[in-house]
Amino acid sequence: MSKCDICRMRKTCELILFEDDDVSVFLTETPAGLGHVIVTTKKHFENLEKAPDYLFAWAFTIANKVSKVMLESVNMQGLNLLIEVGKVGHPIINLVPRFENDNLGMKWDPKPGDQEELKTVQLMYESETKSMGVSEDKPKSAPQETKSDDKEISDKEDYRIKQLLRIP
Amino acid sequence: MAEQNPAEQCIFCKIAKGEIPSFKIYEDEKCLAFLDINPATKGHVLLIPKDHYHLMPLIPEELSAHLGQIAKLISLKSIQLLGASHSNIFVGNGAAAGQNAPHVIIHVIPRYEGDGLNLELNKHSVKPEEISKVRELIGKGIEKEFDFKLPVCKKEEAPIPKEEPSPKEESKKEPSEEPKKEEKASLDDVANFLTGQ
Repeated sequence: MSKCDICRMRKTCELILFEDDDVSVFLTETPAGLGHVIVTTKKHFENLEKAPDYLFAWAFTIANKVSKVMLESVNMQGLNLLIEVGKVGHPIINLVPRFENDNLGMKWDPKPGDQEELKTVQLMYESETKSMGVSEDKPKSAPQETKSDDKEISDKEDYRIKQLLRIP
Repeated sequence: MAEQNPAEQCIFCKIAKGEIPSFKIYEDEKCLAFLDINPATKGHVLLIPKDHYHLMPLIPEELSAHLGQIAKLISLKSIQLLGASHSNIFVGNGAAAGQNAPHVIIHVIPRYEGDGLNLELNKHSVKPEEISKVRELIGKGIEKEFDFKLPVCKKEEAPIPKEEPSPKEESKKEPSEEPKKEEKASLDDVANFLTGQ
């Protein structure tokens, strides 16, 4: 963990933009573009799958609020949110300001998909996502958490959201 | 916004209501996930809120938390089911960021070895001055939005803008004279830009 760049940067005062008990927001030392912000869990996880859903949801919510602030405070023409799921390493949410002709890429040519393939893929997903739920029904692959934890979490979340809404 | 309800014209609202058929893969009362018929890669999913929002940052907290969780779950499923090497969760806000519809879309894009997609973030090193400049700019908004006080850093060699070490009262009330200020983009501007207003 001591070698984790994300853990190091989130503790570097000059980079910090926001933190609460669970989530850190900071400017990366090695941005893809000007004003590249990273939102992450304070706790170090090996990958996103290991991070509990409620924590990720909270980080995602913070990321969305930070996006709003960024759009309002920097003269940008757009903003991307990008998460690389399934890569090893402290999971992060990237917020990248966009400008016309910035050559950052991040687009693709839409090409009509094969109808048969679409149907097959749909069936594959569908069989798995039917039972998919938030908080109460954790997918089998996720780390097991007990029901009592879930209740605690939702209370905690409510409290935090209220706190977040407080205007100074 | 004019009299006309933008949601009535919105193709994604129609998909959400089932008025336009789609390859649905998940649905609940707040959101719908379906396959992109023009996929960037095999298994490309579009996750949309059922309610009409132009931009992700206009979405209320509770809904964004929900969408984040669903996006994460679909993303993990895509790796498991389709043998992807990893998966991207991608949102574009504004045309420059690749948004081409006035309805929030969260893309879940399974990634495969050699898929040729350019969704990587290249790292560049920048000067500490540039970082502190950006931090000052975004930090002000953060302090207001989150009822949070940016930590003051005591580091001699770091070239800190004049205002930084000043006492609370000053830095809080008086915004410094930013040359860019007049051109400041607001969220409304971006939303208007998107809807062509």
